Amino acid sequence: MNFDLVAQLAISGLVIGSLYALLGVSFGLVYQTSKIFHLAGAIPFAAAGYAAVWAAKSLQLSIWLSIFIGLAAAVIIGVLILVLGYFPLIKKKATLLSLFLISLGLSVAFPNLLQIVFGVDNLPLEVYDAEGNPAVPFANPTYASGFLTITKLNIVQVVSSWLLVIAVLYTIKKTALGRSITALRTNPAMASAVGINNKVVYLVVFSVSSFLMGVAGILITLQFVANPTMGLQWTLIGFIAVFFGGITSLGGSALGGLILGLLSSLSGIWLGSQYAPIVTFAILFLTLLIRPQGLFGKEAI
Amino acid sequence: MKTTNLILNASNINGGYGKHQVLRDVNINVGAGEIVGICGHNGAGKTTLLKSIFGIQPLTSGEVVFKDKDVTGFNTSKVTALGMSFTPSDRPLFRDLTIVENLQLGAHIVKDRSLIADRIAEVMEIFPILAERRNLLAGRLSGGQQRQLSLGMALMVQPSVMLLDEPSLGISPAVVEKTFEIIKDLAARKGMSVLLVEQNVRAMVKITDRVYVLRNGEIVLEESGDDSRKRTDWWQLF
Repeated sequence: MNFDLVAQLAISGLVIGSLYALLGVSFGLVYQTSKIFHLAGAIPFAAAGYAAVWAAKSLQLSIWLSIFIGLAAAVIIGVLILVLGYFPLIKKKATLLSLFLISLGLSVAFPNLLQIVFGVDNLPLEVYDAEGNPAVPFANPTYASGFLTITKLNIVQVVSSWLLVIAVLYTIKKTALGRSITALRTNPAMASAVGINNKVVYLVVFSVSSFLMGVAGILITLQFVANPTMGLQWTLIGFIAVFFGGITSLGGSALGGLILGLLSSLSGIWLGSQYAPIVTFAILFLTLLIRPQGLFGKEAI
Repeated sequence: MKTTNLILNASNINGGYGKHQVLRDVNINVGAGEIVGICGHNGAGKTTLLKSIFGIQPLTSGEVVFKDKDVTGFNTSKVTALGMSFTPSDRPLFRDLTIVENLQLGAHIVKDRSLIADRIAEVMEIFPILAERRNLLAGRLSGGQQRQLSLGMALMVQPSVMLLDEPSLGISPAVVEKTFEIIKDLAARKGMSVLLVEQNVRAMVKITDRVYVLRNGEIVLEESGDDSRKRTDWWQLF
């Protein structure tokens, strides 16, 4: 076995798994609080990437301002989905299936909107110097040792993903907001009885989740490009991470994402990288078959 | 029946679920320091009435006045802040959280951390078993202990009125008597009023000052606690 290849694939798996962990926690947070299968989380993900690209290219803003605009777009659009999409249905006591269908419809329609506005081309997130030359942020330096290489962007992706995951887990476990979320998740009637305003908690949760989706969207756009289908393509794997790790456990969702990333990457030892999506879905299928509650979950959906 | 020093007055309450009307022109009131019971058959509208007063269930018409303030249509956090608590009959706590965390959530509207700590200490003095098991998950407590915890959670906001929905549900007959004694003792000790919905009429009337009987969403009887304790024909009223 080529150990250099294994080590390089493990590094790639760590990077991709960290991003899956971030997506998994984002999706798990919404699902645990509201039981909504929030496929439309793909929208803030893509919106962040596109908004950052637009700010950098059209407004010629710095990378940090472009990232800020991308994240603001993600949070605003995430909250709008809640307020204009889910709240009216929840008020009408719509079923979770209805909410899922709305979510599905939005996530399918949004790429078309992106195509209409930005076209079908792949758009890189580049910043421009005074002479108008483009440069990919965080691309350099690249750290190399023997056959192993890791870019500055990879380090940013891993570190920022896990810092955010840990911050969310800490908030859930140790703060009043976290207790409110747990209360709403486990007993909504009683949460209401102790005076928890469900709408406020939902607003906070969707803002945080959309922010996390936005961070993931920007980190992925920095490495690859923004394109209209990027939202569903990536967030679907984040959803798989949640079920793989365990829908009832946010920490489990994060670890599920990491393990999924490592497994799909390391499968490259035997299979080409084009098989990675098949490996990912095979892992989901086997999980649902053998351990429906996920690796770290307590109960199946 | 005339009650002086009204703290809670719900008048001409109509409400229900969609087109299904459950409550029809219900008028009830609670005096300061009074324990008032509501009984009736299954589906009479008892729980809906409590939820309507507390603001969980919207009214189609009617008015709820609490401490001389019209609270009709207020959300639960506002009503709780004014001093009303509601303990549902089913799962009145958070099973996946510890006793301390449940009590902290009971004080959700209280922002002062030291005040919350003081009140937790006070609740644990009233219910010593909760102090012994403070870090145990609430779901692992016995039925009676869970009831004590749910009462403790209600006490965390130092309510002027406690709305209790079937506190005898899910606990053994011996513990039911004790639970009702605790409710009576708490009301006297704290000067609180209690509006109590209960199926176990015999246990309830031992502690109530006044009783309403609800049938098909209408009040069909209001009488004093003394009269209700003498009554033997409850089933005919239901």
